[in-house]
Amino acid sequence: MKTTTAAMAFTVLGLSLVLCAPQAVSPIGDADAGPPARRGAPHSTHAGRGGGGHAAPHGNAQRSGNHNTNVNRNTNVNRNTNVNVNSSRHVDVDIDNDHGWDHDYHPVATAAAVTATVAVTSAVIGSIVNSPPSGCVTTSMNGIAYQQCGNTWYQPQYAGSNVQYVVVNPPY
Amino acid sequence: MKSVLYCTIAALLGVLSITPSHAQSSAGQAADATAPAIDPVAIRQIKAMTDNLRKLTSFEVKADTLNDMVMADNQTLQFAGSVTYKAMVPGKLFVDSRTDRKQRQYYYDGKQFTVYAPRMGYYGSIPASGSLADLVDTAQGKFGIDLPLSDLFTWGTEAGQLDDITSATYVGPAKIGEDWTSQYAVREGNVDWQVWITEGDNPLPRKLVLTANDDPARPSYIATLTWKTNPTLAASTFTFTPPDGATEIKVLPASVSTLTAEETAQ
Repeated sequence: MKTTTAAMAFTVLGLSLVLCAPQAVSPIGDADAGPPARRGAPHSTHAGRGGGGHAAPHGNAQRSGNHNTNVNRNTNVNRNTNVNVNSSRHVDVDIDNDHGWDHDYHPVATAAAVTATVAVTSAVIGSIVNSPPSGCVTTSMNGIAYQQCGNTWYQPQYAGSNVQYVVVNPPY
Repeated sequence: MKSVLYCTIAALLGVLSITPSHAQSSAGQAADATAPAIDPVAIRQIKAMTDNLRKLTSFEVKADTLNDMVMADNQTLQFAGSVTYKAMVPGKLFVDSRTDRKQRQYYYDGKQFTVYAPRMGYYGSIPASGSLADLVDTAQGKFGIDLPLSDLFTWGTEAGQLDDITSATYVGPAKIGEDWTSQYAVREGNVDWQVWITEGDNPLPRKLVLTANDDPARPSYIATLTWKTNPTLAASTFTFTPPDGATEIKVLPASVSTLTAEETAQ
């Protein structure tokens, strides 16, 4: 059931990205360039499972605990999309974000992340992207950081150690 | 002539007598390959290392890292990086993490944990308290921030028990830089790991290789560690002072991340 939903969501996202994928590297992103990745290596002996009082990522990821993981999954979602849609053009999408490059992945969390990312493509207030389009202006108003991209304003926030961007109302 | 013949026969007999025993031992190994093999001596040595980590009052360690990323087409690419830790017991930590793709600094002064992206100029702080193991738990569990090589802080504590190890063996001696170490191979959950422990009365992990065993591509994270034990570290090391041009942004609690995702979907 979840798999089906995820697959549909992938497709939706994939199609949307075809239309909206930015073409250049965002100047503020961490990534330089790179092909789509599907997963990284574990960075601790307890990676990818419960232990030491952490919520078990494989059992409860969507309900408790490793929500960061969910957010990181956004990246993987993009990558999975690339896999499904499979066009070299889509590589551009990944170039723009560094997210997940040095993180583990947990497939369990994918569905939730997909849901979040699908909304992104409709570019409504409150939607989230891993990186803003190219050509955005980095600015700060009243101590709040923004990326202004024409009429669309993004507010950066940390989700785990990755910076993601929420579409917000223009500050004026 | 005769003696040559005897020797030949003896040699042949020797071969014959040796061959079955070899065959037997390989067969034995093959049969054992699937069964858990926990060498108690290996566990004892690893535990001595983890206990020793917790005896340090402060340490500075630089990890030179190689990180595998598996691409969508299953090709595995390697990315280099480094992580420098400066830690003071019980609860102060500075981390400088640089990879080919991402740079982050982390500051923990015992009250507040700050993540800073120097190239983007964004930082975010969250309240945190307690030991370094507590910090790992808070950062990861509540905010989804994974510190690489967090074992360095959790090993030897409640959170870093070795109970889930299903296989542990001594591989042999190995020289890393100028240091003689003992190499151990461990299987624990989804991670196959190897550790090279320095010999002597100050056993420390000199190298770690962590390999995902639940993926056919088996991506690895390789970290070679250079230690300074019990250095004097200034308190200012652990306090984040925003550089000019840096802007604070919020750090989403893990639960809010999920809520946001759900709300966004509607």
